[in-house]
Amino acid sequence: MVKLSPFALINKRESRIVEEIKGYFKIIQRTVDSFVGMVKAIGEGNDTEAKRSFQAILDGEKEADAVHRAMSMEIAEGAFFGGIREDVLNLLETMDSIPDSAKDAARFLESEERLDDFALSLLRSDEIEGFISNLQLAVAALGELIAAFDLGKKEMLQRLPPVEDREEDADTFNDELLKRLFNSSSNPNPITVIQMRDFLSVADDIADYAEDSSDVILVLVAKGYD
Amino acid sequence: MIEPLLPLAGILAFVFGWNNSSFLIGNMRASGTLGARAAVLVSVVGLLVGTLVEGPRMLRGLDGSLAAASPETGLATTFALSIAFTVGLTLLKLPASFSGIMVGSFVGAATALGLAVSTNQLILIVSFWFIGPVVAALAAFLLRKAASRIVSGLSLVGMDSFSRVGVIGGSLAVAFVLGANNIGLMAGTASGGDAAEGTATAALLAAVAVVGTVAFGKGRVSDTIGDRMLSLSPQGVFAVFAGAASTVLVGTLLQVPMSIGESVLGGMFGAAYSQRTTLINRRVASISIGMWLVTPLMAFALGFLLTPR
Repeated sequence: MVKLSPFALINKRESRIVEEIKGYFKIIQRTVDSFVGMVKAIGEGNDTEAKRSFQAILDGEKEADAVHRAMSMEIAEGAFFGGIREDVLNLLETMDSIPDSAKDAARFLESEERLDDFALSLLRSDEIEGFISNLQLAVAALGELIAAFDLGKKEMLQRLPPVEDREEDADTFNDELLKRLFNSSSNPNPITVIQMRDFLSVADDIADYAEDSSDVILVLVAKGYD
Repeated sequence: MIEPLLPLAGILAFVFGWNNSSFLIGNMRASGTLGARAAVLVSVVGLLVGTLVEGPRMLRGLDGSLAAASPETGLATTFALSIAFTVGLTLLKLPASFSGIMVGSFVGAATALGLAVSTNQLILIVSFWFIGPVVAALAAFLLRKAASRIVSGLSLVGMDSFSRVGVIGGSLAVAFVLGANNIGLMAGTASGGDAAEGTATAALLAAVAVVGTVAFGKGRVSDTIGDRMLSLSPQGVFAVFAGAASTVLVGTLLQVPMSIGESVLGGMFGAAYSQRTTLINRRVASISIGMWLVTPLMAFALGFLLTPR
């Protein structure tokens, strides 16, 4: 890592914003962890923990929105070189879709009425365990990539593929879950099938947006480190 | 001072500022590095320092080295044609080679008046017009390689800072050589090569050039050379500007009138090929090169035909 101290006078704002992005990511990661916790709690029949986790998801998403808004305003006022400013804003916008997806997916499960046995069996399966685990890993890999902002081009490029790999793994588990959903011989309630299908689709967006965020970082690297 | 020439020199300086606005403030503003006022301040500093520090070398860049003591009519024709060409080409959004126009007009006028033109100096000047872009290309090639290597090890914030400093530094260097070479040349031609009056005139003309930049400059001419020909990263822009400025500085030290546009074009090729870029708008490049070959010849012809004997 090379730190250019002669630039310290002119990059204070940018240095602070990069630290804020790391803090913003932590909020997003906490929200996703709460989402995973909620899915597990519902599968275990732990309603109290499920409700607590759902509230944590709502709070996390709200906090992420507020931080996103404040940072975007600050960047739009002139932080960063013009050539990459738009990409930094784009990165924040894409990252903000992660907690949004977690909240939207959680809403499919949050209900006054208990989920039926078919839905619960899905939420207790090995496939759902693999699926939500890879959602978490995709977000964690994005965090490693953001941490590489301090390290330079080579390190950033090396940390890009794991985000995509975890996203693809999440897709694989999602496909298995959908097969289980639609090929079940137990004649599940069609409304349950639709509910779970929508839940899986929106939950999968968590990993998709993590991967989209890594794509934005790739563009940042390509433009800035040419 | 040849006082009747001062208004003409002032108009030319104004038009010069307009035509070169993209180099003086365009990059800093378009990249979002600096706001309008700060960009103008940087160009003012660069122009004035260049004019005062190295500008005196160019006071006899035309009158006194290319031909001895041209009468007022010859110098007036030189200025008038330079204004007409620069305005016309700027309105047509074509690149205007300032040095080519001034040298061509002056040699045409001097020839019409029966003055002896220094063949050696003319050969030196024309040679530099061809060698300069090649040297700028080489300099930009090496600078871009070096910049890319340095930047790759920097953090995101470090890279961002390097980009901004590079754009400002490159713009400052270009403003410096524009002041030294071109403003110095105008001032020397208007003041008959007198050192004290020439330096004072140069400072005044530099200020007028900045007014021209601010009043009408919108970076359109740079579109014909830069944006439409090739897209460059911040490191590329820095390499092009620094390489071009270095070349013009060398020309200034040798009392050779040079245009930044030709050196920037050469620099762009050098910067592009340093990254193995092969996509260049050949049409725009051809037009630029064509104009720089044709305009000095046209300026010579008109200078010869229109100078009152």
